[in-house]
Amino acid sequence: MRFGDRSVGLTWLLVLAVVVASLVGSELADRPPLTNADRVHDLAGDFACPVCQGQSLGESDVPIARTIRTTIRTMVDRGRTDTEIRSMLVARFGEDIDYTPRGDGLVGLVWVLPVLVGGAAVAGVTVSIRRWQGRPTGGSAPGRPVVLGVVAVVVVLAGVLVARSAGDRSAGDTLSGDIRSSTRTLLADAGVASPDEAVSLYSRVLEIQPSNVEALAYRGWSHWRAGDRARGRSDLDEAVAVDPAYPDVRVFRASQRHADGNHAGAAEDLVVLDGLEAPPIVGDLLSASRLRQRIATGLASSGELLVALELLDSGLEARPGAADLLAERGWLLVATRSPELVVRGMANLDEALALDPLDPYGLAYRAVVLSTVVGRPGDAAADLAGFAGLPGQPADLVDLLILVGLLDPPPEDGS
Amino acid sequence: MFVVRARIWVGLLAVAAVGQVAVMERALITRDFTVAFVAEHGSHRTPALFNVATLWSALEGSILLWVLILVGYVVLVARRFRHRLDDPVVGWTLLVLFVVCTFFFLLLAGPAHPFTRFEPWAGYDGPGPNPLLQNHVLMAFHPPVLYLGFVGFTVPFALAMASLATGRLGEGWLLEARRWTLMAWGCLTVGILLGAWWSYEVLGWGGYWAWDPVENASFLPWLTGTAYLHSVMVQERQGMLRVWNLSLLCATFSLTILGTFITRSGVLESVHAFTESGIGPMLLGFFGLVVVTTVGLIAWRGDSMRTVGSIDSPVSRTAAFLVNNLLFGVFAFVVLLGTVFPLLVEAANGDRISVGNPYFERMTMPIGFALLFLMAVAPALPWGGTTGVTIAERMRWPAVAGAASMVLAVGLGSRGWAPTLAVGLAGFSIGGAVRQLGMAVRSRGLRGLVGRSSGGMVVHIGVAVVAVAFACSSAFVRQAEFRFDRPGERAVFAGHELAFGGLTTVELPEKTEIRVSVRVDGRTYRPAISTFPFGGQTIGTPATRSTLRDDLQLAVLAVPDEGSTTTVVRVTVQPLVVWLWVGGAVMAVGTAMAAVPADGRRRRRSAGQAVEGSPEGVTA
Amino acid sequence: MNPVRATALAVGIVMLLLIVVFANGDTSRDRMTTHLVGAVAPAVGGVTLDGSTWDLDDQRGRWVVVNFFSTTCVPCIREHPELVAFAAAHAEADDVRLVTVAFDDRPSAVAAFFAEHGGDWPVLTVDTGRIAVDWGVVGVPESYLVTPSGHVAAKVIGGVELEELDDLLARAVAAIS
Repeated sequence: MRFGDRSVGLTWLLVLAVVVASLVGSELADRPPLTNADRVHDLAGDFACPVCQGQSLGESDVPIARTIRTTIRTMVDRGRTDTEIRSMLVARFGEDIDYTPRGDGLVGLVWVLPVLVGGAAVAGVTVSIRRWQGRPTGGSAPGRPVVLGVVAVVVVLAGVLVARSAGDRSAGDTLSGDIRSSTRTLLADAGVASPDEAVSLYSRVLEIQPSNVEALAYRGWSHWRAGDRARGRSDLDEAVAVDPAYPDVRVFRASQRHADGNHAGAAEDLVVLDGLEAPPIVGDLLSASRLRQRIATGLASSGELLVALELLDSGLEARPGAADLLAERGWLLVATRSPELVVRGMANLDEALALDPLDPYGLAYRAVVLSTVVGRPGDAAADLAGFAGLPGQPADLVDLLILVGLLDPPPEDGS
Repeated sequence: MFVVRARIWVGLLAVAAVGQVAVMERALITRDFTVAFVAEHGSHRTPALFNVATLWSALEGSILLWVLILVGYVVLVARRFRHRLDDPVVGWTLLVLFVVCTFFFLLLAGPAHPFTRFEPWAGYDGPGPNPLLQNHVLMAFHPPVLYLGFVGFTVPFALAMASLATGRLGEGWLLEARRWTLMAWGCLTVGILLGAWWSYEVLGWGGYWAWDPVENASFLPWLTGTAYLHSVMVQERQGMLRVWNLSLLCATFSLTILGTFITRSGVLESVHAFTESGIGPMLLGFFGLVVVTTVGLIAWRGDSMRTVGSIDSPVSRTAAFLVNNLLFGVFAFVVLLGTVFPLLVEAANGDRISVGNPYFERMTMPIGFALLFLMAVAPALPWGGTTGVTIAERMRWPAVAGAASMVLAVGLGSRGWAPTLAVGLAGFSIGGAVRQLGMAVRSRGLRGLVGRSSGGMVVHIGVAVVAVAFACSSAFVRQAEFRFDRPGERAVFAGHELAFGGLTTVELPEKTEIRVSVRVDGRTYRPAISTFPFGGQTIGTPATRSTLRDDLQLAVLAVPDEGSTTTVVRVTVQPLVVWLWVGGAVMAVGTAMAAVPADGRRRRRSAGQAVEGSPEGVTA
Repeated sequence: MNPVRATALAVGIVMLLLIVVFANGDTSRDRMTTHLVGAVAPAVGGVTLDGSTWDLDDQRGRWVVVNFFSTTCVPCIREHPELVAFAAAHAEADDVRLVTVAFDDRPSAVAAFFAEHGGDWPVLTVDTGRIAVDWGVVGVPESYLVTPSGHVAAKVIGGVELEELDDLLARAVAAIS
């Protein structure tokens, strides 16, 4: 028997050694490398097809599944990690596209409960076995420590397994936090942020992409509006240098130059802008701020009427029905007091009001011209009435009309 | 009097069940479109064999099949106990069976009524069954066999309820319950594997088990049934675990009802699900009734039927079977939790999540390993207990077998600790089972091969083979898509050479089929893609090349159309897939062997003693 | 209470709770939804049917309706006249721009459809699968309303109607200002 014992023991030792060696060998041995196609196959099997009932992305053949697989393939080829691909899919399609439930929160229970139940069951069975055994007979029964040790090992193993799986991923870290947002997202968010936030967002974009012209232009503009004119100027100039064909920066720089008194430079920028295809926001900004008209006025008052007219004409070429530009043109011509030009100016004003009878500038200008220059106060009164009937009256026009005497000044406060 | 009435009721049931199936099959075969079911699912274009199978391809017909099989079992039960029909236990059994029958007939009379009328216009032709179900001959076999299993569990459930109602639990009862459970369990095993095989052949992605809610629904009763088959041996041997076994039987049946509900209610998405219908609420209600009744009976009677347990040593077969039940119980809990968890989360906070393959694989892997290990060791453990040294000696050669198989696996290319360990444990199990078989033959000659324990060993061998096949085919699967433009183009993948041979279009009455010819390692295969005129669905027919070493499956993903001239073929290479089906066959053979009584004496005794037995209070 | 009774009742209660959950289960689960509303609109751009390039980022300052479409989907065909009317109603004020992304469809079919049924706004047909994935579109028709700053204000699954779009637009405008 003793000899038999020893050979049994040796056999088992050998068996254990071979088992460990095989396991280690299977892990360390050369294996065919995981191709990208294999990775795509594994990933596709771990996600659900968004429209099919119960098929995975890999199994399904509907167009959206094929498209998503192509996207996954592209991302894999570009070297993205599994976590990034997972985050992308969950962000686009919702958490239910992922077949692996999260490890945290309520969902994490699905990992935890089986471990708890398993642990409780093991404990229960152990206790039952111990109880049914009554008194252990002799030394054949293993001692309590061994039994408890077995239970502990089982629970720890299970816990490790759960922790490994549960901590694998979480759907929370999608587009925020450490994952770098695309410059596009940053720019879009900056567009609706407060000025300080916007500056920092644009600066982040520029860290990622130093020559991003949109970030440069809008940061320059934000600096300018915040009062930091030097930085604003330099950002805007740099933006123009990087991309002369970028429309938005032209408006900003024109405004900046105008504020600096450099009307000619501002006019230049606007003329360049007219030749570009600008997004609607640029046009809106221009007409709302009446930048062009103000530059033209500045030009005219510094003796550069021709340039001012060219500026307005350039704008009219881009937008033929722009009544406000026509009105301004007429006003500048009339302001010269030269009879020919006054006639042409009146024609412009008439045309402007024909295009838009409710344009406040057209009405006010024509009222002034009719009453003071041409000498037809009666017609002026009609225009005045139209102006007075407008819901919103620009302050500078009201001042102008008061100055000329067509409107009474408002009563003093306190009377 | 009761005896005569019982016979009459059973006879009526049989006539009704067989009659309605006969009528429906006749309507299907003759394409009688005045029956709405046939109008919706039958078609002149469907080949003949599939018309018979069309019965169970849709909801109402599947309930007809269920009722037929259920009534068949009732008839068998009545016949088996024909000399004991006045025994209260038999009476309760039949009563419970009648109640279940009533429920299913109510389904047929109500929401799942198969014989509603339809008025076909001249030249009407039905759409035929779902094209996915027309594709393969296994469609004809998988549902009936699966139902033989599912429905079969009704009988041991009825026996359990009878036992609880009367408070009696005897040796004869035990044998009966075990026998019926074994038969149902065997059919369920084969049914599940047929289903897996069918998915594999038809869906074209190389997958055969997706932890899909419907698949899980069929797997849950299998798990509890397996637990029962083992723990009932403890009850037989030592009189313990009586109430636990009764609970297992009730749980198994409840899970079949729950599974049917999941499959037919649409509450959980699945590729296998039937179209939604109104039977969901009724099934759920019946499930509730079953739960309430069984819980009530066990709560009332359970304590008085218990016996005090006693166990000699933790290193004994009794303890091993306790651990076995523990493992299967946790397994069932994991599968059930994973399946219903999305619903629970949605009910709790409205979020929608999915729980799929990655979860189930990770959670069940350790349980699977533990079960494989136990499967190896437990048969060598004596009931009364032994020492670790004795076991070490007995398991010496099986351990060597396990280690050797691991070395072989690594040598043949197994990489990664999980599949290698699975092979090792499976080798260990097979070694242990062969050892037991060897001992049985040595002591009783060839007759030692039949009977419960030897049959069980063969089943264990089958399980080990399936485990190896499952582990290796999942771990080492390779898949890629290949694009071919011109015949003659070649590709090499995973050690196989593919050559594109061109396309052929075949017009059949029920579909237009485009066959893609691909030459693999010298032989030509023709995966196809078919367009069905009704509904415009396109379904693929994959082609599979199976060898003992690996399977290569070809599926057509895209054929040339006006946008492109490319044919896209998906190639999947998986090792050892065939062994899944071989292992399943071995399990079936083992079950049959286990059903043969080990000796004549026991056979005669059991028929006479039927369900006689002593009332509660029996101690070991 | 003896342990058997306690265990049985506990299991019974858990099962009954499960039944309650099942009874409230939604059997008409629709497709997965995206979480784009409120986020920055993903890039949309490419070559339109008439050969010019169009990019969402060039539309800063305007509301944009991005419509995902296919000629083989019946609700898309049904909603098309509503979109035509919408485009016509806003053409003069030019306060909303419209773009169609044709998803999983042949460019020739899309061009033919637009030629026959009208609609002169930009239509993208090439490489639109990628756009669909970026937007998390799983089926057509789907329409998104994008603010002038480039964020997604609203999403409509299924065909839109003229009134619905105008109403959405009005509410979104009010929400911003």
